[in-house]
Order: sequence, then C-alpha cells, then structure tokens
Amino acid sequence: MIQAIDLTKRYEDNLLALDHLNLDIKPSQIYCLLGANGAGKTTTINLFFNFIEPTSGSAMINGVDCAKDPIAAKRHAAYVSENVMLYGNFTARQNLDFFTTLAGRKNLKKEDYYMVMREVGLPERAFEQRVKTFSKGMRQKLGIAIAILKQAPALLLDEPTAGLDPKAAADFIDLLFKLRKEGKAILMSTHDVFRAKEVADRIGIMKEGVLIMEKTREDLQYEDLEKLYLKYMEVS
Amino acid sequence: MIFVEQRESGMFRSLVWKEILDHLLSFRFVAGLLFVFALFIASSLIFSKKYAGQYADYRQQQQAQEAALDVSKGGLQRLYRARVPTMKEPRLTLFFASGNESRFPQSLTVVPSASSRGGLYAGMNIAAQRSNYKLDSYHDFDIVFIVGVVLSFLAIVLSYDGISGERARGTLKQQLSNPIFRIQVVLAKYAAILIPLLIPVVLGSLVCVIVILLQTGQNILFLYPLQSLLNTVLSALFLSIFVWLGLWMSAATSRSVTSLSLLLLVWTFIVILSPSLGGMVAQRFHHVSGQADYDRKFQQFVNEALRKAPAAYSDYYAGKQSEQGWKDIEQFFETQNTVMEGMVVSRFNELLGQAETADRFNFFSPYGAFRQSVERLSNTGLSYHKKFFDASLRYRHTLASFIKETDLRDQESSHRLIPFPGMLSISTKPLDPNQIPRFALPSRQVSMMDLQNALPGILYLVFANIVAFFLTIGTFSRADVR
Amino acid sequence: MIWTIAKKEFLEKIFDFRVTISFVIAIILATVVSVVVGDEYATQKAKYDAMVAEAQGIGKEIKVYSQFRSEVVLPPSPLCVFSKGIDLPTPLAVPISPQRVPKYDVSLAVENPLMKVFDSLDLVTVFRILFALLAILLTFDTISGEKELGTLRLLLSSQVSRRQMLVGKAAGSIMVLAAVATVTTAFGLLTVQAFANLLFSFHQFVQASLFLVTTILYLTIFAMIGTFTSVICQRSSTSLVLALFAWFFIAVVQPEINTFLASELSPVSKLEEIQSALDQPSQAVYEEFGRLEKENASFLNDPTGYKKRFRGVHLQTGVGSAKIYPVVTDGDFQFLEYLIKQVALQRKLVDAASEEWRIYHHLYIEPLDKQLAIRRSLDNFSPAALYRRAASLFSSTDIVHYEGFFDNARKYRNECVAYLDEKGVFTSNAQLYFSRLNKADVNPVDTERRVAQYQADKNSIPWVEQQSPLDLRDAPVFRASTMSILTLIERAGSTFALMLLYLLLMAALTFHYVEKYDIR
Repeated sequence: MIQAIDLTKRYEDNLLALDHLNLDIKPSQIYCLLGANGAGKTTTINLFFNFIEPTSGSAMINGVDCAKDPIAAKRHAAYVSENVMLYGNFTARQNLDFFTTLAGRKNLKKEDYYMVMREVGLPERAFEQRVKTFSKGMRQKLGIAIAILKQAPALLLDEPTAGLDPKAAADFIDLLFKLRKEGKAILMSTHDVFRAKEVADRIGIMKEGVLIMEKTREDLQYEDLEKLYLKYMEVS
Repeated sequence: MIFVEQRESGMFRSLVWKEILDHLLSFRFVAGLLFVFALFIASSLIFSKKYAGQYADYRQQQQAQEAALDVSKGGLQRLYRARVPTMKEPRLTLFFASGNESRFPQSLTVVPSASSRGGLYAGMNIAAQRSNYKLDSYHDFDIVFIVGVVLSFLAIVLSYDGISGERARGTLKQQLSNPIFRIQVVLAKYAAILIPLLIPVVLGSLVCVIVILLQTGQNILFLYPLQSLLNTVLSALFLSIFVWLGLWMSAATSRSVTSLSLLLLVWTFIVILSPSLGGMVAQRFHHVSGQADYDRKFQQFVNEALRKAPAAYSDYYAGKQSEQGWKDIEQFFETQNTVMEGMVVSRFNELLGQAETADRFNFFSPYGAFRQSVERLSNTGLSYHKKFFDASLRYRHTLASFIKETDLRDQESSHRLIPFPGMLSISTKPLDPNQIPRFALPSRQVSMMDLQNALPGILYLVFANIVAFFLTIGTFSRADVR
Repeated sequence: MIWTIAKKEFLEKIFDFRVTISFVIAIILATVVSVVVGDEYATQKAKYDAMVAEAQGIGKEIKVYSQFRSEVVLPPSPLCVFSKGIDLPTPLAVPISPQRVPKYDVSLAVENPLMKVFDSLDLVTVFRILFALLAILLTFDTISGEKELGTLRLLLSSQVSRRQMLVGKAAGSIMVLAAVATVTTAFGLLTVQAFANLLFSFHQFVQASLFLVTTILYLTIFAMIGTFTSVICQRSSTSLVLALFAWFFIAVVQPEINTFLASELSPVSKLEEIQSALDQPSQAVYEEFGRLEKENASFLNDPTGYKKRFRGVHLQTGVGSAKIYPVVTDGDFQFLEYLIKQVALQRKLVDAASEEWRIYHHLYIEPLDKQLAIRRSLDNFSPAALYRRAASLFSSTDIVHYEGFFDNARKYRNECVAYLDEKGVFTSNAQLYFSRLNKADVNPVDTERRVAQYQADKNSIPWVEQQSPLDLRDAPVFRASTMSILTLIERAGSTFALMLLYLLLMAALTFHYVEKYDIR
C-alpha cells in the first residue's frame, strides 16, 4: 500500500535529505519511522504527498506514483501533520466539514461528524467550539478525525504524539490500533521510542537520510529498543 | 481543468466558500469595510455640497452669458463685439473622477468679431477662481481615490498572507494532501478576496447614489448608466491586480510579514508617489515656449500685419474712405483673425501636448491607467478640457456666421463686419434673443470616441491582471508548501 | 548594555530587505526630483539673471523722476528640492511703481496652466510617506516579534531591564532610519547641485542640515509609534495592523484633511466679487481727472487741429496713457496749469493705490489668512503636517518666506514714494518732459526748430529734456532680506516643540506599557 522504491531527495543546497529509501507497508500494518531531528522522516512524508519532488526513485501509494500522478495518489492517503493548527475562527465541525469536502466526500450530516469526533475522544462541548481554543491534544485528535473521515486506505502521520501528555498520547495510540484493525496501512514518524515499541509492527531507524535498520515486532520482543537506537545513532 | 468531475466541483465551491467565510469573519475585513463605507458616505456628502456650489456658480455665469448675448440695445453690432463666456457644465460624473478640474480654467471667453487673439481668450480666468494660493492643494475625494487608494490598500491587507499564512499554520499542507490542484487553491483564494472587496464597491456606490439623490435631487445611476457600469468594471479590474500581487507575494515569501512589507512599499510607490512623476518628467523633457515668448511672438505678428495693412486702412485714418476700401479692410482682418486663431489653437495644443506627455508617463502605473480611463469615460479632466476648448472655438464661428447671415437680412445695414469701433457698421435692430445660438457641450452620452479613448486603459488593466495571474500561478506551482 | 542592543538592532536591520527596497524606491524618486529641480533651477537662474539685468537696465532708462519705477526679483531657490512648499513660481519679477502696491498676483502663475493638474514631488513627501512606513515596518515587531521568536525571554534573562532593552532596540531602528534619511538627503543635495550647476552656500547647506534633523525627528516619532504598538499588542500581526492604520491616517490622510477642512470651514472671496470695491479709491480720482479734462475741454478737443497735432511733440505726464497734446507755443500757459493740476491728482492716485491695497488685504487676503490659520491649528495635531511645515521653513519655500519678500517690496515702494515726495515730483514741474515720437512720423526740421526755440528760453517754458539717465544714487535700494539661521530656528521653535511633545508622549506611553508586557 505505502511503498518507497529507492526514494532519494537532494535539495538545492546539495543536502542529501533522503538516500535510496525503500519501504513497503502493507494494509493492517503500522510502520514507525524513528530518527533524530533532520534524519529525513518529515521529508519522506512530504514526498508521499508531493509537497516536494523526489530527485530519483519513487513513492507509491496503492500502486500510484505520487510524483507522476499526485492527484490520484492523494485520494488514497490521509495526512496528519506534526502540529495540527487548522482554521482557528471555525469550529471543529466546520473544519471537519471543509476538509472532508476537499477529500471528495459530500453530503455528510452533522451526526456523521459528531460520531467521528466522539470516536476520537473529543468532548461533546468541543464539537461546536472554535478550534483556536483547543489544546494541543484536542487538535491532534481533530487531525485524526479528519484523516478517518477521508476513508483512505493509507494513513501518514508526522510526529503525531510530540508534545502530548501521556494520557492523550495513549488515547491516540488506541485510535491507531483501531485503524489498523480496519485494515489501514499506517506510516508514522516519531522520535518517541517508547510509543514506537508499543504500537509498531515494524520499526525503521533513519540516520542522515539512510534507513540503517529495520526490525519487526517479533525481533524487538527480546531487545531493548532504546539501547539499540542509541547504539545505532553513534554509528557514523 | 477545474471542474473535471462532478466530485471536483464540490471541492472548489467548498474552497471558495471557506475562504469567503474566513475573510468575512476576520477583523481586518469588517474594520476595512466599515471604514470604506464611511468614506463613501463622506465623499458623496462632500461632493453633493460642492456640486450645489458649482451649480450656483454656473447659474451666475449663465446669467453673465445672457447679459453678454443681450441684443435688446444695439442689436447685432453690440453682439459682434461682445465678450461671451462659455462655461463647463457641472457634471455628476465628477464624482467618479474629479480630474482635478478645479485647477483648470472653468470658462473661456469668445468674441465673435475675433478682434484679437483669434477671438478666444483661453487663459485662466483667475478672477473667477475661488482658491487660496497660500494653501497647497489637496487630492479630491472621488471614487477613483477611494477605490484606487483605500480599496487597493484593503486588497493588500486581505491578500498578503493568503498563501504564507496558511503555510505557516500548516493548513496549506492539509489542503494539498487532498486530490485538488494548486491552481484551484489560488483561484479560490482570489475569488474569495475579490468578491468581498467588490461588496463595498457596489454597495458603497449605491449608497453614494442615494446620498447624492437625496442631496441634489439627481440620480447619477439613472443619468449615467453606462459610465457607472464601466467604472465598476474598471474598479474590479484595478483591485484584481492588487489581489493577484498580494497572493503572488504571499506565495513567494516565507513569512507573511515579509510579504506585507514588500507589498506596502510597492503600493506606496504605485499609488501615492508615482502619480507625481508624470508631471515632473513632462516638465523636464517636453519643453514648451514661455508665455512671455508667446506673447511677444503674438505682438510681433500683430505689428507686422499692421505694417502690411492695405492702403484702405491708412486711408481711413487719413479721412478718406471708399466702398472698395471697406471690402479690403474686411478681408484683411479676416485673414489676420484666421492666422491669430491658428496661433491660439497651436499654442493650446502645445500646452496640451506637455500635459498629455505627463499623462502618458503616468499611464504606466496601473493607478494612472485606471484614473485616466475613468476620466475619459466620465468626461472630466484633460480630455474633456480639450473638447471644451474645441467646442468654444466652434461656438465662436457659429456666432460669427449667425451674425453675418442675420445681418445680410437687414436691408438697412452697411454689412461692414470689421472689428474696430469706428469701422464696424452692421445691423443694430433689436433681435429675439431666443434666436441667438447658445453654447452647448453635451457630456452625458458616452460616444464611440470616448470608448475608444478609454480602451487602452482597459486593455492595460486586463493585461496587468493576466501578467499578475501567471506570475502568481507560476510562483505558487513551484512554491514550497511545507 | 543599551549600546550593545542598539548595535545588534542596527546591524540586523540595515541590510534587511525592507530597508533596501525603501532605499531603492527613495533613491529613484529622489533622483527624479533632484534632476528636475536642478534642471529647473538652471533655467530659472538664467531667467533670474536676465530679469535682474533688465531691472538694473530700467534705472538707465529713467530720465526724469516722473519716470521713476523699479523692479525687484524673487530669486529661485534650489532648496525647493527638499520641500516645494506652496510652489509659487520663481523667479518672480515684481514691478515697483508709486501707482501700484506690489502684491502677489495670481495671474503671474505657471507657464502652462494645464500642468497644474499634476502634482509634483519633493523629498519631504517621499520621507513623510515612504520612510515613515519604513519606520513602522522596522519597529512594529520590536517586542512582539522577539517574543514570537522566543528570544525575548533570553534577552530579559540577562542583566538588562525592560526599559533599557526598549531604548536599545528603538535606538537601533532610529539609527537605521537616520542613516537612510541622511544618505538620501545627501544624494538629493549632490544631484541637485550637479544638475543646477551650482554649489550650495554655507547658509543653504545649514538649511539642508536642519531639514535633515527635522526629518530624523519625524521618523523617530514613527519609530516610537511602531514600538508602542509592538508593546501593547501580543501578536506582531495586530501590532502591524494598528501601526499601519496610524501611519495611513497620520502620514497620508491627515495633512490632506487639514487642508480640505480649512478650505471648507472658512470662505474666500473671488477677485471679481471684490473688484468694484477695489476700484473705488482710484475711481474717485479718475472722476476728478475727468472733471479736470472737462474743464479744459476746449483746447484739448479742438477737432480742426487734431491731425496736425498728432504729428507734433509727444508730451507725457506720467499718468500712464499717452495723451497727445498740441505743441506748446508761447503763451499757452493755460495748458501748463492744466498739466500741473494733473500732476497733483497723480499724487492722489498714489494714495488711492495704497488705499486699494488696504481694501484688497481686508477683503481678499484676510480670508486667505484665516484659512491658513485654521490649517495651522489643525496641523498642530498632525506630526506629518508639522514636519512639512518645518521642512518648508527650512527650504525657504513656505508662505512666510514669500510674504516676507512682498512685505519688503511694499516697504521699498513706500520708501520710493517718500523719495519722490522729497524730490518734489508731485508738486513741481519735475514731472514733465518731452520726448520725440518715432522719427519717421515727425517732421525733423520742424521739431528741432521748436526744440531750439524752447531751449533758448528755458526759463519761460519749464520743462526739462534729459538725454542721459538720472543720477539715482540717492534713491532707495531694495534690500532682500534672507532670514538668518537663528531666525529660522526661532520660527521653527514651536513646530519642533510640538513634534518633540508627540515623541515624548509616545515614548512615555511605550515605557509605561513595557512594564506590563506579558512575556510568556
């Protein structure tokens, strides 16, 4: 579902942000991309949504090349950004309505929106409240609601739990599990090692644009992921 | 491309609707709207008052005109040497573009006999101006000013963070993670700024129509429908340029503040400062001969002509006259008048030429093109002054021929149409004043000529829009949206 | 500490794109202005020199005191590049004669009345609008911007107090503004001199510097406004909108509204409305002239001899219009008595002219001054208008400068009248002279015989024929006074004081509110 084939990105100032990345995420899988700041995680996600163009290689969603046919590719993927800001003057439902319409779904009723917002754990009073009054946790939940409503088979999240308190982060992880059960392919970038170990089916560690290690959940059962992470970080 | 599928059209509409709502809810739009409304009301009140004053002055001048055309005593002979004023009628379209007409001569004087200066005194009638030389002049508060200065400022304030603001918030990425084209986003933003901007233009104009109607009893919309429509179109075109500029800048820069600063500086240059450049450039590069030189040349011609006066002329002063002599003298003065009129006209054209150079230079700025187009369509400003001058000249000829023909019908007249008091001898019988032709310069209809004159401006604005559009699309397609 | 902050601000901002763009725009405009003004000045200077030569030449044409007249010329000033003020045309040649009180005649206006439609630019307008905008753009995020960057807390965690930080930051921006203003002014100064082909005198140079000082003061006010909004608003964007609104109102709108209100609130009269009142004093005298003529009609209007007399000697009495009188033969003293009475009436004309001036001043000038006074009071509330006022003052293009010239011209005319009185021009035959008509029209033999006859018996026919110009070394001389630098500064005192007041007001408010600023 989510594939990267030798995906490479070199910026104008010659910075090699991504070096021949290879990924294959199947449906009902959660893949966590770990790495330090600047390792290339956000760049990867940006390439899937054609926010930037790849230098070589390809990013594919559901078999569609993201650079060659971005519109088609975007139909199959939903995005949750690192810091969900949205339109402060609009209410949560209005924001949902807007982005859902953009996603291509029409004629959704208020109840549909309320249902999803409940699903993600937003309090009832927040449904018609302006987004600028939301806390970070609430905004992240709203971001996920948007992604859910898109009903896309792939879900890409950029550091979704950064800055969330433990409770909010735990709620978030529960949501991800639910979505995995529904069959979605999920790519999540993070530097939260603990959460990654908790949620991921597979983990990839990136360093300076290169995927230096990939491990499955079974592999990790017997290892201390943290020690592994730090050890690999030291390797030049 | 935009409305590819039924599904996609819903997206675009949704985009536009969201944008419009976002703007209508924002403080800057509401504040700007209220401010602009206040301006429209204030300017229409001020204009109505001025218009009433102008009409009072005009009535006074009309009385003077009637007095000059009074033929109850002295008949045609008196009329022949009368100084008849021609006046510019106060027009409601001055509300659209004042054309700085208060700085122009408002009236000219024609003398049917053309006793000197070709019978047309084109100088500034200073004594009839109500002005204060100790104060510097201010800009008139017309529609062109409100749209051109205030609304363009508002256009910038609404569009400067169109792209950069969303980029900063991350909502741009969120939007573009969906199957929509970038051009849809830009077009939606454009429509969503321009439509709310046109609301004050249309509503404000309607308010003005009502205020002017209440104050002066005249319905400007009813009297000038084509002008009103065209001016709205021109305003929309002009404002649209600034919306594109704002969006372009906001796509090209990373921070909204950068975009706004650049836009403000450019706006200040285009709208406030560059309109003053035309006059200065024309003065520097387009020389006209001095008034003193012109007067001297004129005097020289007169002296020369007198030297070449026919024998009959000095015979008259010697005390001898003959019938043939009168014809010679009449012919002599007619030739002289034709030449003098030619000199006056060419002098006017010389002066006009300098002013037109200034206009042409100012045309390069969108604001200049906008103002000039509205002036041409509204019959105000420089182009109207030229019409007025030509019409006054024609009027002199009309009066002169009227006098000649009417005189021929009087059997008792000697038919001596010579400008000088001792030599002039034509009918002195009283006439019906209603027969005398009056000066008229219709300014209500938009003639083909006017439309042709306004066409360059319209084309320029359209072209500027297209350029700005492509710049914006081009920049945004390659812009970093992260 | 303050200096460190100021230096950092200065270095940070001097190469900022905002400064660069503003500077580029300002230089472009300053170039156009300076080139045009410089060029104009060169032309005007040539005209001025010609006018002065002509004026001096007048002295040589004067053969009798009755012909006494003069001309004073208002020189052009290249300083108008800084501020065009009320934009009166220069050079201005004002004729001085006993029968006319010199005053600004609106018809002495521009060469091309159609060009009045176009405004012209000067440096003060560029600074007033563009640089004030730059001041806002540099300072609106002084505090709120740093907060958003997160560096505010870092700054304040060092030993600097909030107020010190504020002073440092404001000083940095002000230094940038001062630098840009100085370079642009200097550039304008040099360009004008180059194109006008002249070198500024020391006096003019000092005036230019005073202009620069005023500019910097003005820009400082706006820098303070920007800083103030930055301190009272939590977000930079709000601060910017507020500061922009202030800029738009103060720098762009207020000066125009003040002029507009002044024109609307107080009426002025049209010259044609007061013309009859103006004509009255001289009208009375002309009536007396008419009566005198009627009394002496018999020998003045003799129809039979008219044509012969036309080819006679041309006698001018200095009233203005040439009246042709018969050649005076011996014994025609009745005619001479008539002439002398005419002379006495002319003195009354001089008084009538002075009276006409008083009426003119009362009916025409006073309403103008009233509007000016209203505008002045309104301007006291506008820093931009104050700046413009001071700039005009220092560029010698304000109304007082021109009025001063005309006041001097009027004083000079009074001196001339007193001088002529002293010479007994209006009470003696010094008025009379005769000249010859165009030689072609006069029978030379006849005239010379007559002249010889009269010269032989000069005592009996009291008039003078002068061929050489009069010795006018004891005549009054026009003193064009230029205001000294001290006088200029003195006159600008109140304007400066008000501008400082606004500056201090903004500074005080800013300092007050910075303490309350929420730095979280």
